[in-house]
Formats: sequence, structure tokens, C-alpha cells
Amino acid sequence: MSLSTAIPLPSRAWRLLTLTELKLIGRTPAVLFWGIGFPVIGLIVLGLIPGTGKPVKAFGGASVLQTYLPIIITFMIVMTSVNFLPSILATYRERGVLRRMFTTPVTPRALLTADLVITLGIQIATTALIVILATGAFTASIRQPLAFIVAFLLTAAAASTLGLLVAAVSFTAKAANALGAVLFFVLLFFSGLWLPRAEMPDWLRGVSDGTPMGSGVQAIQEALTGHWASGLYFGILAAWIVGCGVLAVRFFRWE
Amino acid sequence: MCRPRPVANHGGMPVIEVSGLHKEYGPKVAVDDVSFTVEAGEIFGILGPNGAGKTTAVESVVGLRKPDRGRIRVLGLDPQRDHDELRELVGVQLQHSELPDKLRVTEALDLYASFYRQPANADELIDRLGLGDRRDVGYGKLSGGQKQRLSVALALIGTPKVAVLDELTTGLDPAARREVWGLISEIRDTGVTILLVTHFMEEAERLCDRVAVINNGLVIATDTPGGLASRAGGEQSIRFRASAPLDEDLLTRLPEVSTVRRDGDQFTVTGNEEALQAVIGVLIRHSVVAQHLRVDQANLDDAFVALTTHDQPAAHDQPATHHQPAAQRG
Repeated sequence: MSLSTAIPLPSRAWRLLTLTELKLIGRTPAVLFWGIGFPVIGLIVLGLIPGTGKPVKAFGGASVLQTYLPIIITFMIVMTSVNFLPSILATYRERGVLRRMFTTPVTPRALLTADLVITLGIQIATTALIVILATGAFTASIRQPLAFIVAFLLTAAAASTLGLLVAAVSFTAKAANALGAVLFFVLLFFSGLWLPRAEMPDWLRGVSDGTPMGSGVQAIQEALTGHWASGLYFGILAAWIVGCGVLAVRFFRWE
Repeated sequence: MCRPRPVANHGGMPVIEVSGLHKEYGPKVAVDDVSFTVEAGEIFGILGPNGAGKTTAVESVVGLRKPDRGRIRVLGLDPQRDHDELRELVGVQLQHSELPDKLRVTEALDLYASFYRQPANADELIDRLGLGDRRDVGYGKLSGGQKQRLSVALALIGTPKVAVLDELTTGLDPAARREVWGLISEIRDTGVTILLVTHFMEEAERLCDRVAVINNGLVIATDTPGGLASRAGGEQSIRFRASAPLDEDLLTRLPEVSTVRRDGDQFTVTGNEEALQAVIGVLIRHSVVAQHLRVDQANLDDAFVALTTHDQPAAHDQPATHHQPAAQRG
């Protein structure tokens, strides 16, 4: 009798899988516009409004641009991770794409991995573009780049695992879209899109600290002004990553 | 990197062996007790009404479902334990397995080809399946028949030894269906063993070497399509329209006749080889002319109806499943 040997995927399969998924995203205008175009345009518009580069007392001496930079990055992360990613994966499950893959030498896990990698890739590229624009064309600055990179990556990872969890618990693509939309507004509210965290009452900021995007914005914000945020914020992000990751793996179904 | 070892297929060992397969979903028994074997190079059909357990049976064969009881071997391998190895060797086309709408035909085949160690030539396969002029069309824009053919292509792209095809011509128009049938015969001629699930009689009659009829999770007959048809008792079916009112009791009383069905002035009579003579005799005596007279030999359709409407009293306290015994022509 034979041994069950996990046959390693040809690297060609990984390459084509990632490339194909990337092409499919490229053919989805909504993802390109809302995920990439809108945040970049938002930054440009904000930067062109006179006075947004000047310090504002209510924001603790930071400029409007400086305050909104982390929020714009977070907006882009939430949009791609919590809205688009679960929608893609839930649709694949609903339409039997994952089921079909299960019968080929490629496990559906490979497809999930490819989509996660692409999502992260889009986030990194878009953030790079936003940062170059904000610091090059406008007056924003990142005084602690390493802290910024760590904070950004943790925020992106927290959002992606949350997105996987949304895909895991949603039986249909419709449910994933609905849940994603609700989370989108909740997360962005706590990230300070409508009411910057600096203006939140203490209790509300406390709640915001507990959310991945609230902590993420805080950690990115402090990196901009030149220091590492308190370990608490990184700890909260890490807890979200581990928690959502474990639950997503536990509940994800191929069909 | 070890190549998958050549799979033993010596001395007429069956390619697929299923014995005592049993699978429940909660309180519902999907497959009660199913056994069959498929020999190398065969097209083996699994036939049954909707909800009979066909899909669950083949999903267990390809390792998508873990049976509660029973033994399954495909090419001598266990679909659960040796799933990784079998994925290379078994091509599968399942129901409700679509592709992303914006994925183009060539992209889909190139992608799936990359999953296998020895893929078929994607270009050739596209041409053979008549998708040559649709290469750059997205899946969402293909017709039902084209989608189905692409799905068959994906099942064959890995040059499998065994192809499992579930409801392959459902939703196809008659012309597309015939095309796909032609293709399946060709594939068999290249030495691929095929397990075909269908509820479509004509398909089974045209393609299958042998057929297992499944009903309520049990195999109720395994035979060649011709063998099954003759089990229906060599009965004739006589159809005609009566030119004048006719009491159907006159026909029912004939010893040669077994059943009479009447729908307005349209009669369908079944009976033995002498039935036609006897029926015509009655008609002449009552000065009734049989218009649009048609006499048919029993076929797989009849055999299927006879087998599946013979509802055994449920041996298990499972809820009786409602099914339409007649093939749905769609």
C-alpha cells in the first residue's frame, strides 16, 4: 500500500495562480477604484486644499494632512481586506471554485494564500504611493519609518485575518458582502474617519483602542510624529491577528 | 521530488471498487448501501432519480466526502488516505462547480494545466472541445454548453486515468449534448476509464457499457443498458388515438395486456408480444380505428421506471424521498 505523500506544488502553479488572480482583480473596476484610486485621489484632494498642512491645536498640534494620512491608509486596508477579500473568497466558495480545486493537485488553500498575498501586495504598493505623494508633493512626514512599517504591516495583517474570518463565517457571498459592509463602517468610525481619535471623548477612544483599526491608526500616527507607540497597541493588533486567524482556520469551509 | 509511482493496474484489477458505501448527513441517509466495480476502459454509468444518492456516491469516490462505512478503492488507492496521489490521476467534473466570470477559456486551461505534472496540451484540448473560437472569452460570457465543455476540458487537462463526470449534459441543448457524447466516446478510446453520473436515459443508453441504477441510496440493479431494458420483460408499448369512444375495460380484460393508460382518446397499452394482435382485434370488433399507431419495444426508460417505482417499503425509518422516476428531458 502506498504512503500518502503530499505532492509539492510545481512553482509554475503558484506563479500562474497568483498571476491569474491578479488579472481577475485587474478586471474588476470596483476594486481598482475604491481600493486604490479613491484613497490616492482623496489624499491629493486633501493635500491641495489650502491650510491642510498647517498645525491644528485640536489635533494635538498635527496638521489635518498628518492626522488623516493614517486614516486614508487604514481606509484602503479595510476596503481591500474586509470588503473585497471576503467577497472574492465567499464567491469562490459559493460558485464551487474551491470545490473544483479540491479535486485537483492544488488545494483550495493555495488559492486562499494567493489571494492573501495579492491583497497584501496591493496594500503595500498603494501605501507606498500614498506615502511618496504625501511626503514628496505635500508636507506630511514620517519621522520613524521602521515603526511606520511595523505598524502598517500589523494593521494590514489584522484586517486580512479579519477578512478571512468574515469569509469563513459567511455562508453566501451576499452575507459576506453585508457583513463586510457593516464592519467597514464600524472599523472606519473607530479609526477616526468621521471623528478623529484626538477629538473622541476618553471612553470612546478607549473603545477605539480595542479595535484593530483604532490601534492601527494610533500606531501609524505615532510613527509619523517620530516614536514607537505603546506596546499595548501592537499587542492589541497581534491579539486580533491571532484570534481572527485561529477562528478563520477553525470555521473556514471549502463549500 | 518523487514522481507519482506507476499505479498498479495489473491483471484486470478493477479501476474503481466500492463496497458497502454508507453515508448520512445528520438524520438523512444519503447513501444506504452502495457497491459497484468499474473495470479498466469502461464507461460506467450511475443512474437514478434526483436525490437517489448518486452525487454523494461519486463525491465519496473522489474523496470529497468521507464515508461513514464501506470501502472505496480507486486504482488501488484509498480516496481519503491517498487523496494527494489520486488528485493527479482522477479528473473530476462536479455539479455546481463554476469558474470566475472574468476568467478566459485559455487562462482557465493554462492555469489548471499548471497544477498537474503531465498536463495535456491546452490548445489541442480547446480545439477538440470546439472552443477554438472562444479562447479569449470570459467564462461568464460562454453559453451553457460551452461552460460544460470547458468543465469537461478541465477534468481532462491533467491526462487522468479515470474521469468522473457528474450530470455532464444537464442544461445542454440536443446538439451540444450529442457533441459532448461524441467527445466522451473519444476519450474512452484513449484508454481513460469513465464514471458517469446521469439521470438521463438516452445518455446512459448511448454511452455506458454498464449501468448501476441507484434509488433511495441502494443499488437496485447493475447491468448493461440492453440487459436492463430486457428486464422490463420484453414488453411492448402500443400507443394510439381511438377514432371513436372505447371502453378501456375491453382492453384491460385481454390476457395479453398488462396495463392500459388512457388520456382522453389517447391510449397507451403495454403487454406481451401478442398484445398488438389482441388489441387490434378488439378495435376491429368495435369499429374503432387506431390513429397515429405506434409500437415501441421496452427501452432503458421503461426499465428505469419499472425499477425505481417499485418502491420497497423503507427498511430504515428514513423519510420517503419524493422523486420523479421519469427522465427529465431538458
